[in-house]
Amino acid sequence: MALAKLAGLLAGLVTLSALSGTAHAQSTIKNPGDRFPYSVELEPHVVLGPFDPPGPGPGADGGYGLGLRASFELVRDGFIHKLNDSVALGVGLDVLEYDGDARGQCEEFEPGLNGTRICTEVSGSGNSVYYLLPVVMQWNFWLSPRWSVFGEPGLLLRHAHGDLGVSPFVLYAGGRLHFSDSVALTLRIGYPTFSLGVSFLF
Amino acid sequence: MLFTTLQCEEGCKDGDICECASGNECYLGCEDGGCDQYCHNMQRCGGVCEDGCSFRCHSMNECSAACGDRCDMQCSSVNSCAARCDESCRYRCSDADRCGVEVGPGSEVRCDNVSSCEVECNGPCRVTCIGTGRCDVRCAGGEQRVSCVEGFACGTC
Repeated sequence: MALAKLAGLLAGLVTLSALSGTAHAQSTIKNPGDRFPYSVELEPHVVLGPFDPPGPGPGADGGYGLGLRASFELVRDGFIHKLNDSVALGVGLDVLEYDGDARGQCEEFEPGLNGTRICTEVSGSGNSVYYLLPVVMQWNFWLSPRWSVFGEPGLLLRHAHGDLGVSPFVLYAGGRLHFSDSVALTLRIGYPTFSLGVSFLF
Repeated sequence: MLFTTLQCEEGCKDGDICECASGNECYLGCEDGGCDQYCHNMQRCGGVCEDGCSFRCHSMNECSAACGDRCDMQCSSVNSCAARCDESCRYRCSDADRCGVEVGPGSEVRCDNVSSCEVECNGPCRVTCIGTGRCDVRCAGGEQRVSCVEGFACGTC
């Protein structure tokens, strides 16, 4: 099921590419600051987890859910002064349900012979809900009035099976198709999730 | 490696192979029995299963298996191997510091090159110890074990 959704997501990307139209003719990437000014981007999205969920957990039949990303512009002119780039701090919450029943954590150990111990109960059977909280640096490149792209390295806090954990490195890349100055369709791929949502720039 | 410390090839259901590898700790469950569980190159790992499962683990500090009837289990190159199973199980412990195994009637246990192997049989069983420093076999209900070629048995050899 997750793979089918992923295929749909990729089909959406192809469609977006087809809609790019005359973007090349209106390039703004070499005009620093040439974009709609904003300070906050709010992006509700649907999210897919095509990979094993981070940390101990069930097997990877795939996950899906909903989420929200908030990105706060920190640097209007980014690291490359000759380009129209910017840097934002992105924080989010994604709630995914993963199908699967394989791995987990040991819920109960019993003493075994010869000073050993035996795990007799494993968590993670059935579906599991994961709460993922990415904290990323969003590096934006404003290609044209219609298109922008970004990369997002960062870390991820996760909550699942009653435990809180940290994944020290996550990486996303994405693009926006801007319908207007303040509304865009946003596709994001990376680890551990893919997402498709609508961005509202304020 | 940056992305995840654990790998699981598939969900673990009847007939599937489920694997934990290259991480700190991972434990495998099984939905209905009949799973093929595999742990390797970790710190701690284990499997919990019902009937008819196979379980292998190697190259770690601590490995345990809890299983129902007719399970086939192996533990090698592990500091501490532990297992508990019901009837007609087979357990092989090799190249380990210590093994502790509780098995049901009709089971077979083999300890190869183990510093200390301790087995408790809840019914007739056969224990083979080869190259093993201490081979301690106890039979349920205070029954005396019998010596066999390369090991002991509860009941007859």
